[in-house]
Amino acid sequence: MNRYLKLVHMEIHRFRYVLAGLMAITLLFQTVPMIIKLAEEVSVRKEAALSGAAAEYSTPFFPSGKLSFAWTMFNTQFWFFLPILICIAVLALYVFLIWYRDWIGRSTFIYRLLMLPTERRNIYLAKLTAILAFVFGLLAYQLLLLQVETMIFNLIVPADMREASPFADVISANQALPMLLPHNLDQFLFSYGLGVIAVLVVFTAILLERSYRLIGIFYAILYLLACVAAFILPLETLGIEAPGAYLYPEEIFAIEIAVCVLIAAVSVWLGFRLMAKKITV
Amino acid sequence: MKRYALSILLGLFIAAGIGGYYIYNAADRLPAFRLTALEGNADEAARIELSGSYGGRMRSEFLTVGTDGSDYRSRQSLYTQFISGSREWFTREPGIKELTAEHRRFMRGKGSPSGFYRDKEWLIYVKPANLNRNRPDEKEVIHISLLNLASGKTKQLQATVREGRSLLISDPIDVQRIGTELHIVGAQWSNSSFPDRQRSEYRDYVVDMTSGKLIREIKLNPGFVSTKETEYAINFVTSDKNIDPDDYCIIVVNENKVRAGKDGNSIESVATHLYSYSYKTGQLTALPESLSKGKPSYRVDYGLTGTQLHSLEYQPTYIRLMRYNLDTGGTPDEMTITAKQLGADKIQSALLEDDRLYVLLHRSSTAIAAVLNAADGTLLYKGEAVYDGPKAEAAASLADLSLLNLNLKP
Repeated sequence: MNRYLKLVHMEIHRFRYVLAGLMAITLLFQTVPMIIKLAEEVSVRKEAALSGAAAEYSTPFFPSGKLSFAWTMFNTQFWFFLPILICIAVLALYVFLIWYRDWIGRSTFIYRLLMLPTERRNIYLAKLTAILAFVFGLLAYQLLLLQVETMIFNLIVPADMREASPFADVISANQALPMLLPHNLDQFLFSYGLGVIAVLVVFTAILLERSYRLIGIFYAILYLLACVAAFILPLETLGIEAPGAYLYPEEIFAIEIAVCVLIAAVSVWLGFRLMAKKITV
Repeated sequence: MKRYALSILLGLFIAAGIGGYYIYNAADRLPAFRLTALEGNADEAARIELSGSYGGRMRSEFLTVGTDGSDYRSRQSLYTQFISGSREWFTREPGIKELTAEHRRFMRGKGSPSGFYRDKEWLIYVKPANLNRNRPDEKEVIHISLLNLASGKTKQLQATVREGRSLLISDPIDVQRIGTELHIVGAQWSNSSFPDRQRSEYRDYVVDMTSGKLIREIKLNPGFVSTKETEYAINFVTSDKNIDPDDYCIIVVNENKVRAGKDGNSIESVATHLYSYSYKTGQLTALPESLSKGKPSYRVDYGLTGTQLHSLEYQPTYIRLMRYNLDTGGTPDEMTITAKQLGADKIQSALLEDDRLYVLLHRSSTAIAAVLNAADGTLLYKGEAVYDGPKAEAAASLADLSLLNLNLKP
């Protein structure tokens, strides 16, 4: 356990600058446009109030017409969404790079890892844990940032122009956040559970490629396709909403869960086996 | 320990951030509402489900309100939404949930709600074959599954309707058993006219339950022929609980005027004609025109309970219920109830089931549900949707509640 934790720390440590960079980009891309938008809006409303012009600010989503943090999120969708997309892209790439960076380069780091006095499965599990830590770390960071942005909002917008908005509205105001941070815990576990299984499958595909070299690319693609087909087939063929489907919906659900567990178990077992037997120093 | 500070901090940060978010979400409650009795027997409202939306948040939240409280769709678990809530179009049909619970094996692979029939002896399911319209050599057959309720034994039959011609039969409209004869009412199209409703023919296919042979076909044709200016669309009304035995089914003929315009044809409903078909006698009988008086609209519903045909019309200020005994005939009974009589400003919707008239009303913006005895109009229950929480928040919460539909739980 100790060695596993040390490996996890090593993986987090070597990614720290990229993680910090992603956090900085998110902070910049979300707060700066928000500040600009709010400053403009406050200025326009103040001018309208001073000139005595009657202005209507109410909209279907914000009927009171006052400024709220949810309003800000709704009106700066693109700038909130862009850094999230960048983070997703970088992490998706790193799912591959976390392995390939150890093989590529002048000093092949993987050999040093494989020669450590620890079970090779710890390397696999440490890399998986690190990826999950980065994903959840950025999610937690986004939640913290929303609190900071709310404080900035309260500093910029005068009290008579603003109203409070429930945190649930703040999340639902942006199109990306309800998908990344679903309201219900079961939906969160389901979405990220599927994500973990996807990472396991990709890890095993990478290890297949690394184990068998040229033919390994073919094995890796075949393995990926087989997992995707195994996941999709029950949903497509058994017809959860189809009239006259032979199986009941709860039975199809149980089959799908069993398939997911099987895919995860086979991926982990195969990954461990390849690490132990096929990848040699 | 200092060396690992970054990883430890990251782990704690994740636990605090995401854990805190879901603890907050668990405590974040949308307002609760409940259907509370104002007068009458609360048991009468047990099946009532009012649905609509709560607009107090940025995005409207769809909810249902009943005597046991309110249920928001967004707060339901994934399992409830996508698994137990799937095939609702099938499971909400009267009697289907009961059949699935009692005869799980028999109900597998059966997806047409109107294809079921159940009496004290038999549970029967009828389904026409799915034919390839480009294969004229295929026979048109009706598949019949029978379950003997006493012995638990099942039997499969195939009734051949046509050989050598490509005819299509819709999913059954009604299935009834008279002795050893099975009556299957369905629409039939020839290859060239599918799926033109105006050119479909309706038939009662009578099949021998023991051999599966088609004994006879009875054309259900009231005699209306569509022209360029006038279209006749036929619909059927079967028993409220479609799976139960019935002596009749009702044919509703909607007469529509077709007006050619520069942007295409427009259709205007001008009249409705009703006919009853008796399974026992095979007779098609025209029903009194008074049952379908007035202009046809979506606010007029026809229903059949046993031998009683009812015509229910609901307008914003009144409900008119007409009842007609198909066995004895005579003059239809008529009953009119106004919104004022029920203590409301407006009638939103009404539905009739099992001799009970369920009505959704509004008094200013308050949603009121009423249950009346359909035979004599006696008020059995009246209740309103109230806020289930601190009194201080009631007015604001109710102001954002909009309940526009009334349904009955299966």
